[in-house]
Amino acid sequence: MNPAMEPNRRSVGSSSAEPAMTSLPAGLSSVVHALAADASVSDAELVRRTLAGQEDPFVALVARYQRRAFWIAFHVVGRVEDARDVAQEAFVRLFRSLDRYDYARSFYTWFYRIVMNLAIDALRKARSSHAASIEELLGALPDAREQGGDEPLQRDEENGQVWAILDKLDAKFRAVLVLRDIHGLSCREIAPMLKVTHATARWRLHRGRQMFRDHWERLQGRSER
Amino acid sequence: MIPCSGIADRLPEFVGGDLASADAAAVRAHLIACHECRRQAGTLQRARGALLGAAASAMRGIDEADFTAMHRSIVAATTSALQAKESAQPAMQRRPGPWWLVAAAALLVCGMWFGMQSRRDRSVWHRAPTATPAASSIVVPWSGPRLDMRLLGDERPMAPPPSEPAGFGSGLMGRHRLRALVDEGVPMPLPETPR
Repeated sequence: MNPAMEPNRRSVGSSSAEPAMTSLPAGLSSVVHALAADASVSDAELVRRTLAGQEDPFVALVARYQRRAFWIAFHVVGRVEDARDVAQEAFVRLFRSLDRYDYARSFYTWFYRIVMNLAIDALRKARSSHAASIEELLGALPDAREQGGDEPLQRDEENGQVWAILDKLDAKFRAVLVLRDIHGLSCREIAPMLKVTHATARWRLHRGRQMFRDHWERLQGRSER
Repeated sequence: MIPCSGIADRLPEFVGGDLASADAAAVRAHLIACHECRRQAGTLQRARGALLGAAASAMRGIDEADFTAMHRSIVAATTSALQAKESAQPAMQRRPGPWWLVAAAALLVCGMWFGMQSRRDRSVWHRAPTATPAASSIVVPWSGPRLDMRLLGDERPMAPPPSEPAGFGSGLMGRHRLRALVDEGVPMPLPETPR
């Protein structure tokens, strides 16, 4: 069977947020909900029906992929508003270019490529408008010693450090790190999304993890001092 | 045992679960024995855990109502894109087409017409026979004996055909034969071929 024709109920792999990414939004009509939830109706079939002039199949596609699109965009961009804009724009572009869809290829790879391109553009635009360094963020964070072992505060601090490190990483490393480590996609899936070879995707992942570890170690050392 | 430098390169893949089972077993065996590499692997693992934790905690900040609203806004945006496309289509149909396309087609037709005219003028088949000034005969190399050719319109009577076959030495084949005659001791130059 053609892999592109298989229903794409993909797992998120190592991420702990799988249900949050795959469940359907509330308030769907019964027809749309049935289409979106029916694993036997592939993404390619929904595209074909949309191109035939039906509206519900596309709404079902949105329902299937809007969460994943939003979260990928969010983990790359780091801001809810920007991620929402990216997800919306990705679906509009998808809709406009549906007639160029190659049925021999997997739908989600094609769609995620649109999302990633928009997200990386948004990240670069946001960086040029308000660049903040890790050091600045460290100054704004509460001192760990003053917190008296308050766990939620420590977790918030740690999360803040993670986002600061992600902001510090180059967009190409951040994209691979997000897709592999958070969204659980393999390097073979990531490579066509970023229009790079499999070897390049693996190298970027390797370097991205190393850089993330280096920044993390540095920040941990500073905050413990 | 694999040296520490070889292990350090594989640690990110090992921690991320991307190594093949044989490689992962080798790295694991090294980590059991090497304190420094174990410390590095621990740092990588904590960093990765923090990344996943931050991603998961951000997800808790967005609730179901946000996604419902997002779904509506996405569908509305695509619907308006569809309407914009449909409203643009009749306008496209009313227009005869881009002006440059019409101009290019007209230029193409004119070019083809002039091209055909000039070809027609150059063609021998369409040219009216004209008298040529004191036409001299033109010798065309060919593979047979020498022949006289006259331009069109030259009404002078042709020379009577030679009583004997034309001698060698004319035309391509003639030159080849001439070399053969030299080898056979025929006196040179050959007599002029009668016209």
